[in-house]
Amino acid sequence: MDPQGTVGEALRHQGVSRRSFLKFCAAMASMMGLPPDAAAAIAESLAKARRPSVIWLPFQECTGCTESLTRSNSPTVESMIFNMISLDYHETLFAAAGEAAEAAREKAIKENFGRYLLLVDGSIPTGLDGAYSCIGGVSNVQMLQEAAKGAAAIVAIGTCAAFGGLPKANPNPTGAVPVSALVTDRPVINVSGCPPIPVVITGVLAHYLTFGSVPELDALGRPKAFYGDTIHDRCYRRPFYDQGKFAKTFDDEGARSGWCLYELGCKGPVTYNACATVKWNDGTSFPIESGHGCLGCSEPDFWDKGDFYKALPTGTWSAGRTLAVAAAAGAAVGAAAAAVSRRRQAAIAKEK
Amino acid sequence: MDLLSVARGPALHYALFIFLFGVLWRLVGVSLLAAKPDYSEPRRPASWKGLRMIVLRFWPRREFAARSAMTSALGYVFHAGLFIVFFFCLPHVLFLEDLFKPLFGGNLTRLTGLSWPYLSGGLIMMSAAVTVAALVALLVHRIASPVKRLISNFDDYFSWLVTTIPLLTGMLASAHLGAPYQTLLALHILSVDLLLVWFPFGKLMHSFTIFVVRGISGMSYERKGAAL
Amino acid sequence: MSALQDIAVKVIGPGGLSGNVEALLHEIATLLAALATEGRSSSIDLQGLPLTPADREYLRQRLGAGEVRALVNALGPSEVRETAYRGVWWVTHRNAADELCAELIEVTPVPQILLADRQEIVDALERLRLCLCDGAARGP
Repeated sequence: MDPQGTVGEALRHQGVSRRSFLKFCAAMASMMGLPPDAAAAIAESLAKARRPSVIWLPFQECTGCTESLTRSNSPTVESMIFNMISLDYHETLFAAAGEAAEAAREKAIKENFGRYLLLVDGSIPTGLDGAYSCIGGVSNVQMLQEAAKGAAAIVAIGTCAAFGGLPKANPNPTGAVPVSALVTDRPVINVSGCPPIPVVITGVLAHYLTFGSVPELDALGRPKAFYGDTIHDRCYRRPFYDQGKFAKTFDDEGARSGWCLYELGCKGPVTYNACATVKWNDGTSFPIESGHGCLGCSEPDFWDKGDFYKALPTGTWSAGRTLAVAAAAGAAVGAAAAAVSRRRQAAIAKEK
Repeated sequence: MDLLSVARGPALHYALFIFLFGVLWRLVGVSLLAAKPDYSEPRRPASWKGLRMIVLRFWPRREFAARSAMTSALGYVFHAGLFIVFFFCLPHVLFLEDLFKPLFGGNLTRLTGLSWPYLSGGLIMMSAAVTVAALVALLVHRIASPVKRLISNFDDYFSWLVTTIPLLTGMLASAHLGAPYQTLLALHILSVDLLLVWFPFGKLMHSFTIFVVRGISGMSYERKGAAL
Repeated sequence: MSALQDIAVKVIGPGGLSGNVEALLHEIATLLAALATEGRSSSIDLQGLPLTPADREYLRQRLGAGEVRALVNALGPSEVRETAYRGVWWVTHRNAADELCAELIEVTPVPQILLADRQEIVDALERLRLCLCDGAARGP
């Protein structure tokens, strides 16, 4: 499937009106934190942009990220990005299956070599030579390495693809690794989150389509436009944190008054994501607003970073046994030292 | 593993282990040592009155008060401030409650088990600032006074350092100032790890030993008939 | 076991005016001056500004209503309202689920979204001619 001309032409052929397109650009500009005048610039350059070929590879994932993106059947402002790209392979959304689908993937890769956008969903198991996850007999490791060779850029969608996610959690029986562990010679954009906020995914794609480049990334490869602030920095319950008003249990007086959830295990202070500003379900709410502390799902290894319901300062290990052993060992060594000293003193006294 | 996970995880784990091991080693080791038999006649009948020395030595004797009142007072300001910051700052309260869970029980809701109130962030910040100011003043005095400078050794300066750094990094982390929060928090916890590791091996052990030492001295003075 | 509606929820809203509306009105005045003298259009994104709900209400009151109110149905409803000040428009974009996508104050002779696109005009001409041919072929 060849990309049909420009994005503008593709949208026209699909019956998407110019007004809908302008509305999309306005929403994107607003959501990416760009000045509203940028919307016109986005509209202009996006309409003229060549429609990129996009290949979506699903690996060791729960399909939650795809679900997050494809919530509605009719085109919406948010999902219009998928009208703009030429989605040449997506296992879940494809009508074709089996060998026909695999053939389509190989054709897309060959015909657009060096220019296509590779979207990866899910982690990649490396245990048992990659046998834990195969599509059509080809292991995920192999498929990723082949597809990455001709990709202009790679977007790792979801915490599994970006950092390993749930499969990588202790004890990681399948040897799951993130995309960036296997692909080191191409730009990898990590759009983390479990799942990521849908508009964040479309915003990253829109940025790539409009500007033809990878957006500015933080130290973990996440786009700074969405992952630049912690939840804590933009949380509307911050005044309660600063005043020391915390909910002690779920549904107590403090919780009902909307107080800070720090004591109930909120990981907001150490989690970078756009949940507090962009929110979920098109700005409806986000976990803290609904009364549950942040899980830290856009951070690496968040499954292993301590109990979701224990406050951030508490240890990530159980102290009891260690401390008992330490105390006992110390006392024992002390007693032994004292015994040695006493014996020597007795020996000296006897000499005298 | 990123710096914060290391600081909160293995580093803190080992630091606590070394702390507890070291403190108990020294305390048990010293207290089980054989006391030299005293063959002299006791001047006063045996009693526990000597233990008064523990309390009496909290303030310098009248004769020396004029010279050392300032240092003593500053010392107390520092100790009081540190006590307030360490025991009444919310993250510390949550940490300690979790740490003592094996002893006192408790669950996720802080309704059972060991629990005590905390002070607001502003008050803690002020206490920390006062504490650091007192520490700096004491260091300046130590360096300026010729006698004190002469008798000061590595232990004195290093103990001062490992006490001051946690306070400074704690204030920076609380204010989210100078670096991303995770980095500040990691540095704060690592500095506490350093303090814990150094604690049993330097003069910081005075926190436990002063009571023992003063008690023994007091009893000895009482036996000799000397004034406490 | 309590039902969802039995759980009491007390909402403490931020409330109150923050004073940002005055600053915003000054900015609109500056942009309107640019439009008047140089003919330069511009817009302000309200979602990016720290405005409380009370602020928004106050802004609506201050800007008032003009002569035009347009409803655009493109992948969801969008509303274009002229304010009492000619050239200053309040544009609200909502998606098909009626959730807010973007809210802008546009300082322009007429917002872009109301204009008909040139390419679409050409397409429409084709379709209309086709429709007329069909009509003629079918007879009176």
